Amino acid sequence: MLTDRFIRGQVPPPLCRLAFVVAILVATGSARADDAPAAAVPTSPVDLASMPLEALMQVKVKTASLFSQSVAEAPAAVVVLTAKDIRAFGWRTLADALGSLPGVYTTYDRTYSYLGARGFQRPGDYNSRFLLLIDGMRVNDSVYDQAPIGDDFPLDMDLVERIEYVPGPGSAIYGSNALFGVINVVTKKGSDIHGAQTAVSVGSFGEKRARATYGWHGEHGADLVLSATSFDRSGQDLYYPEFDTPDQNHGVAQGLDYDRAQYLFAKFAYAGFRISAGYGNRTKGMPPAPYDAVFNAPQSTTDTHSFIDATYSHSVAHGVEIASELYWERYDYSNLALYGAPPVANRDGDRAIWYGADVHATISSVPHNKFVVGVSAMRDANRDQFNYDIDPYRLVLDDRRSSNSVGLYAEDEIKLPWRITLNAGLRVDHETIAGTNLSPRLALNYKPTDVDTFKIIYGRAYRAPNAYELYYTIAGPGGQQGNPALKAEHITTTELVYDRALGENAHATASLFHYDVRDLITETLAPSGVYLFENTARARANGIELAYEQNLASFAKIRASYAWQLARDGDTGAILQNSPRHLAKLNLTVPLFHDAARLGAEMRCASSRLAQSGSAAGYCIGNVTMGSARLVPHADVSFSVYNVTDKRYADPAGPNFTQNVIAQQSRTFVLKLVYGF
Amino acid sequence: MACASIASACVWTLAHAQVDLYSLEAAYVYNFTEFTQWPPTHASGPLAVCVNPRTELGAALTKLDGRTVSGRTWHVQPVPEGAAIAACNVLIVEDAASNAASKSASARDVPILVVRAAEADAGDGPSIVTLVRDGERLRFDIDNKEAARRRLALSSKLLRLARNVT
Repeated sequence: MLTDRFIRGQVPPPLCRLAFVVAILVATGSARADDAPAAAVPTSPVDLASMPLEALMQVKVKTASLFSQSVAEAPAAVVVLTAKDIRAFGWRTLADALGSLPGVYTTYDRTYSYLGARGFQRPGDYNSRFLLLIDGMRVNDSVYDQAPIGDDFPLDMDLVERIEYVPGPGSAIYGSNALFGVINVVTKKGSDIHGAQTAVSVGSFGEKRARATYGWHGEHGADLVLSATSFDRSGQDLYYPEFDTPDQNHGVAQGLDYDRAQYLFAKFAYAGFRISAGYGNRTKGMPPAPYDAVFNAPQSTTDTHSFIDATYSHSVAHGVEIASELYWERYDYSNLALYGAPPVANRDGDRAIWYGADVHATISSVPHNKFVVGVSAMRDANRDQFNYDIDPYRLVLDDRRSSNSVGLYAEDEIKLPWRITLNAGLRVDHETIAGTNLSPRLALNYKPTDVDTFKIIYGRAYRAPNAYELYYTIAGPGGQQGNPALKAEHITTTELVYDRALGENAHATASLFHYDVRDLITETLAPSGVYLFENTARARANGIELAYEQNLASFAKIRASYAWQLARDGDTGAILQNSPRHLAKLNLTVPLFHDAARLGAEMRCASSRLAQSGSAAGYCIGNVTMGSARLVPHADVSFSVYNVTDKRYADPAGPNFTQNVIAQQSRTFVLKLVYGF
Repeated sequence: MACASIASACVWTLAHAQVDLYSLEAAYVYNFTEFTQWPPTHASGPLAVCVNPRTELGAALTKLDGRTVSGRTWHVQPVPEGAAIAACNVLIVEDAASNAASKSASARDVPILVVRAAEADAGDGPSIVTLVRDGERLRFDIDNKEAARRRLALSSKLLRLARNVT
């Protein structure tokens, strides 16, 4: 069985051979360069300053590694993915990019992508334990607190300049939902795009995407970005053995895996001021028929995100900078499906509108200290959920709520003697429903030598119950009852990190973690036969993450990671569902034909994960992207193959599915052209 | 993981082919001053390069102390506070403090070559040259209007090599 071979430490032959061959090519390539007299590039400022500017512009800078010097000094194991990585590996969604991070895994149920980290991802939970930000603005909505990481994410990945992932509890600065990590997606500037740009891609299963972007940069930091994208994928017919009966089309869901989306984005900046607006609308067909919907009948979900975000930062005095933010956001969701016999069309949906402000000051005038003090206020103006049968019309649910929250936070980074830095943070939140929550965070950073860094991090974070857990009520047996008495979930995490710089171009990191989640909001079956959310469960986990990165003398870049985690139910001791024991990742970028083209190859492996009953087997998936900026003038052409070996693998399904596991995507090809004017 | 280590063993020795960002930035700034003409009132005496000498970029720039550029001696000093900033010929903006200094009333209209360092975490004061990291290379954008406003003349060669010129 594949699982057994993997757990004994063997990677399936075909993919290992691919990685090995590429590694040898790289090694022999550089061995040839080794034979030639090494071009003595001066490295001291004095020698460099003697070179003419034209020559300096050809010199290569040590690329910012995942674990660069400045990151080693950060009070957490921050990981940064850049626009270059997104292009090199052909990542089409945020989930694709996040899935390359150490200890992180994604699950897909043909509608939404779910994020798991440190062995925790409960099937059916909607990414409410990660905080997702766009340029620092909270994206999690006011009804589900969901972080949209699939095609429902309202930005085209081509507009992403970098993704900053801070694993672990982040409530000490950001408040609710930052239990397992904070993801900040930073958008490109007009100066990065500089002019008009169009992109077109076509791929398997009728995938088509078109984008038009304009970027402009003027004086005094004036910067403009405008972009529009349209995406359409027809999908394929999918077979589900659980529905294989003559009256259910023998288990084949025909033409239901379609996916259509439109994204709009505009951003304008001038001096210290910046305003952005975005819109993302996505409709996805749902072939696996969750929620006991009629199989092979029209079922779709539409997710629409819109936002306006304005920020302003300026220095009020020497060493004091104030940043303020104002935002307004909206999330509409609608699910259309047929239920029952005779089938009745039903619409389930929400309207979430929330807005808020944040002001914080960064004070760096006190020697050896850097303070951040801030206050955040947010109003969840609409936390509305509705459900009704369409014909004959029958109103099932029309729930409208609102709530407010305020948070006060402070953080200090103190440079102590003996090369120790202490980072202490605390946030106090008060919310209408979840009451008052305190989230402290302490990180100690010790650099005994120039190459070694030790960090100890302790943090607490919380997640307020979302409107769905609190108020969603559908009467009748098998229905659901809201629970307004729910309390917040709390997590306590301790991490030990050791970072070592190996020479000038390599880095290794080892982290150990332990966390304890209390008052986990869990769906339970009440004696009356109705489902109810309660703060009943508890989860504990221990784990270790090892990561390694090396720039192979600017010829190639390799990133490898391995994570081992053991996550158990805190009360019963049972291993959690959808919690892989092992995760291994490998990302390799290699320039080809003297830098005229590039190759990006990645491999992701996960060991088996328990499902509702049975388990999803372990697997290794490989993706390869080849691209060139020289093939077509003014354009970048790339060809990607996802799931190179056409591996059949599956992810555990949530409790609302008839299936235990959902089969994942077979091999897909995508050809893309980005043309810059 | 075994596959990765084979490749790394072979290419260890080529580590020196890459240059540290700050040394390269310092070399760029040195070159910028060679292609900049200050008005006669500010064109004599040592070339005052104002930067926080304790940062890595500051340390790299300090290594150039004593060198001659266009007949003037390179001299690095800390970013002065208040009116004294008008004595700077070059100002490196890389943090909130230097950014604030660049926008202060005493510095706003003085012929100072304001250079924003790559990846500076510093808000958005006006700068003449902005260093940008473009993958593995260092590039720069020039705001020529700001240079003209400050009565600094930038050579056409510098403008030609810039990534964006406004």
